[in-house]
Amino acid sequence: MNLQQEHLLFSVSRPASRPSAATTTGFQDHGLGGFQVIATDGGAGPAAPWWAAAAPQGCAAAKFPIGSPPSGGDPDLRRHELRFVHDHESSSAPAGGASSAAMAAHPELLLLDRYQYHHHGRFDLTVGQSMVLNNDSAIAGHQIYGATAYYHPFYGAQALHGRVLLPPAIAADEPVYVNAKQFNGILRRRLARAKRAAATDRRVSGSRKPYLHESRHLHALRRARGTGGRFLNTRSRDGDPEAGSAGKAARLQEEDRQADAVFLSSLASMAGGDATRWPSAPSRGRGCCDLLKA
Amino acid sequence: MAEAPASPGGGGGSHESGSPRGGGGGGSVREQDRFLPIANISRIMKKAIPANGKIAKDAKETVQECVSEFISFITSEASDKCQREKRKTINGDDLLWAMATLGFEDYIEPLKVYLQKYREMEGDSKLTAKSSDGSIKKDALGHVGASSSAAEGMGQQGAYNQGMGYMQPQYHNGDISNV
Repeated sequence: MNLQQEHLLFSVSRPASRPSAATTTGFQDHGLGGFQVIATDGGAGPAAPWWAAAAPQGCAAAKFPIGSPPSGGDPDLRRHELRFVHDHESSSAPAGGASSAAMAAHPELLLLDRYQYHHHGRFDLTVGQSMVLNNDSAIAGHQIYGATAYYHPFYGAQALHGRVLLPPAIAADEPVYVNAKQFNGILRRRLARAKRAAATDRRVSGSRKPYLHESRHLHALRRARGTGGRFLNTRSRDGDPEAGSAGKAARLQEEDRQADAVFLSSLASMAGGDATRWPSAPSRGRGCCDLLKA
Repeated sequence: MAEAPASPGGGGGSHESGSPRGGGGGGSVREQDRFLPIANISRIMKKAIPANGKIAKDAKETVQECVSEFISFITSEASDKCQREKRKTINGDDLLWAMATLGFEDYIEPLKVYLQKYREMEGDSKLTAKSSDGSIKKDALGHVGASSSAAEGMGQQGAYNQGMGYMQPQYHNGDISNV
């Protein structure tokens, strides 16, 4: 969003960019809440005390009268949407005095959170006067109808960079908004993770056998162990079936060295990389044989 | 810290006591199947830092969780598409479609180039190298045998990826489409 915005009274965190949505998926308690409020001096009217820190902006916009403060919930949300659509074409005089309008404006701030992220438009509050939706009629109508599907996101109506409210996870303390394209994918991954967690719990609850074969267990007990409890083994790198962790660690180091060799040679030429890649395959095959016999 | 590979869980006679991620008594197979091997991730991360730099263990584990979840995220979207079209095999183009659907359009162009070069390389190696057939058979046998062979295979793929010099998602894309 490239709007010129003033941060007043509320902490704001910018929405995460799209490639980092995976991170948002992994850490679901990451909060992206907050919204912006812009105060403008459009029209005449005294400044309310709690707008003292507001920076004036010379922006003239149509004004909408605000009736009784809403009690919250979907019906009020729908009523306000209808009001916006109905009153968009006409402008009326500011209603009420400064103090009553200021008190009435407080409940409106509760709705600003939803409107801010659904419309991605600019919300201007005239100082002590009324709340203004400063958008074109076509865009406003489009976004307003998109907001009616608040709990059933209507992807066609969303902008390319729109955000959809994600149903909160168990320990979520703030609402999390995600890319609309990734909404279904994230829910699917949540179900998959929950299913896997349940399977893991069932597995953990059942006692696991410490070993499968008695003879192999006895053999392992008889083997010599070094400091730290790992098996001692002086014969390494010869493909012996009895090779232990020492041989495995050495093989990994060798593979790492070969990986560096492949990387360095590929800088010279592609053919060089191709040639040095395949000689490492037989050693991997030997490793597979060792693992199979283990 | 020791960069020992994850021990094969559930098998007979484990050589090492405990896996890097689990507690005493050996890690479960599910745990190993859920995340990529942390040694390979650590090796890839080290390519991006100075020679005298170090990476903390929790940083490696965080990246391990992130990249593993990213792979599952893309793969589940591609799997849904294959199920709708009554196909059983996910190929590279399905993963590219899944990334485009999920909003990762910037990945498409580099990955198309990578996929094209990867297929050319695979074809050339199969045609020219006669002795590689035995290696491929051993690799297949290893994959059937134990999950640690997958770690070995990951290492090999990592070597190939580092040779190509591409980003990590490209490497995993190629790897997933061949499994």
